[in-house]
Amino acid sequence: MITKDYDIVIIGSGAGGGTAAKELAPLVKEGLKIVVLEWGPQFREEEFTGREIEMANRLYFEGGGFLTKDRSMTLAFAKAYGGTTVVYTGTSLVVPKKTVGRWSVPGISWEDLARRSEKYKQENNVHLLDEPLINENNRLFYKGCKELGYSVEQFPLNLRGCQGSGLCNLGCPNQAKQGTNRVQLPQAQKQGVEVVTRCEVKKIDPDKRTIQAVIHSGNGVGLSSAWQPGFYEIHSKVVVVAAGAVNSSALLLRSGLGSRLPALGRYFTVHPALILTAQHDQPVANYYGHPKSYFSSEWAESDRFLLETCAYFPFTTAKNLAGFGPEHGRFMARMDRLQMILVLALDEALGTNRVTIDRDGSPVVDYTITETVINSFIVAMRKSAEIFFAAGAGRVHAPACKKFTIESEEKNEIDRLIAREDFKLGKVSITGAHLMGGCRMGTNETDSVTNSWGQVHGIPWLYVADASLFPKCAEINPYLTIMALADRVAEGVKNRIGELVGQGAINR
Amino acid sequence: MRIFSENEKKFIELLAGRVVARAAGLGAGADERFWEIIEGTLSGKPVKLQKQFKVFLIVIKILSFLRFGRIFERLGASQQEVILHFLQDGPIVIFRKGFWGLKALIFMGYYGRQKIGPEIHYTPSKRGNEMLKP
Repeated sequence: MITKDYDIVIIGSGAGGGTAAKELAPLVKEGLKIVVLEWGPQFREEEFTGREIEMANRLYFEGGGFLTKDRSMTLAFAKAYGGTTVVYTGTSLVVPKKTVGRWSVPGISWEDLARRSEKYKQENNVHLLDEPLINENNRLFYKGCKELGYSVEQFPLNLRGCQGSGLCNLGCPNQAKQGTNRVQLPQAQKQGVEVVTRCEVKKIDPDKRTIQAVIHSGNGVGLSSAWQPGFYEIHSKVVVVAAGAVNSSALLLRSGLGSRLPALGRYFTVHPALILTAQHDQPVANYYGHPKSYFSSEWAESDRFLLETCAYFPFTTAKNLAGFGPEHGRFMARMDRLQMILVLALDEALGTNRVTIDRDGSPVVDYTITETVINSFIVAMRKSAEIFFAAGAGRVHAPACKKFTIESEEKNEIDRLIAREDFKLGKVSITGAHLMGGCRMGTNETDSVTNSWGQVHGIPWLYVADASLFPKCAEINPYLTIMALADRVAEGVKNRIGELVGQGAINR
Repeated sequence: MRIFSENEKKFIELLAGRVVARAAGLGAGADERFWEIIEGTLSGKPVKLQKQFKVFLIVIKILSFLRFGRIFERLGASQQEVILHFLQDGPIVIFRKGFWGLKALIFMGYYGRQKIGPEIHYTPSKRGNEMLKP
């Protein structure tokens, strides 16, 4: 066992950990030692090949197909230098005011989060795509929504030099997305923060204030870790956990905090998602250009879902079509003619939806798809079908439908053809990529894990700084809100740094 | 990385021919990549899941026998489809989930092969913006 000593250890390098690292980096100049521990490797630019299965296995836990306990849903979350910011699409929205109101966490105001979000919009070059760079899939969505009188908004994106590979979810092969791997981590390292990759954190010992971790050897892909492979015990005065909603909760549970924090792992939300497709009689070529230009929050309040544009790869598309055989094959044979819409259900935060651990300490996500979510899906499929047809689609596939496709001449029968009784768990592919909660903020230990500064109740040196802090779902793509919260957590640490590390440690 | 016996592979190839109509020719042993993907993926999953997958293959055979008095391999195409549709759409949730897993694995092996792209008109480009219509 090799031992190491630090003043601040940050676990995870995604939107939360990367932001915390950059914000705390100036403390290095004052004499503090800071390290970021990241489970995944740092990939070389040429290793972003855009090949679906290869990149999914490199970048995601369980290849992006992490199954929930009852196997009704798969979850996608990444491990890499930059965490999940390497594989998202770069959508950068400020959390809605109503959402923060629903969170109802004393000390957290929308104004504060919006101000911090603006800072990261600047830092990450967030902007709207110019009209000529909007691809056909997005134009069709816009056209369909407008024709039906539905609201539609353009996504602000954090891009620099986007070439429109459409491969965002497999890691940008052009390094255009301004995730923490491109912006915050390099800035932090420039100021002296160490980043150690291939480091799996097993446990935090709350009594000794130590971390047990393993450095994994590589398989030739990605850069080597800064530390030699082996077992490590790391002493730290402050620990910031930012390993993502699943792994942060699991790590704290493995560390024995479940008994003193009954809410730990609970109130887990995911924005359960469906990928919907329609076939046009002419090419859409959705694989060219940035995949995500527009979204509609028309039904966010009434039916609790969002619609977004999206583009997926052959296996992911095939898996999300409910069916098989010749009709499935005919749909797949013309990938160039497919229009796609992503449905995100705005799920309730329930204490029963939770991250637990198995006997080995590995995370298990116990999540029930509720009747409310299914009802959101039914309305979303109907509305999407209307949008597809208004955009000119010849046939629409809905995963809960009496037929594999609804033809355009049947468009007046959408409500009959897409019905609740046709929504069968197990048949319909449901995915979740916005993983939130598990270490929710609040005022006390009975129903929350941290205070509004991300400090774990009862442990003054232990912080959480990622999406697991969300008390309820974000109701939009959560990346910028994670950064805003991590920024706030870092400020909280800085405000207490003398007390946390001892005045003697500063400028030693 | 070897997960399946030759008999199990033959059976999965038969199922693949039904699940992906275009995959009917896989039985010629033509596509090693199909098996590399499938076995590579399953080998990264817990042993318990691998076993459950194999049990599910046996369930398909038993169901075929109960429904038609013959094992799946001996059924005609339409009878095989009856069995698969029962697994996908029937009232037993665990069968639906098992069939979803089987389908996902077959789709991964088939559509995860790089060379399938042009065949299904999927031709992404690192410089996709250059291909956008004006």
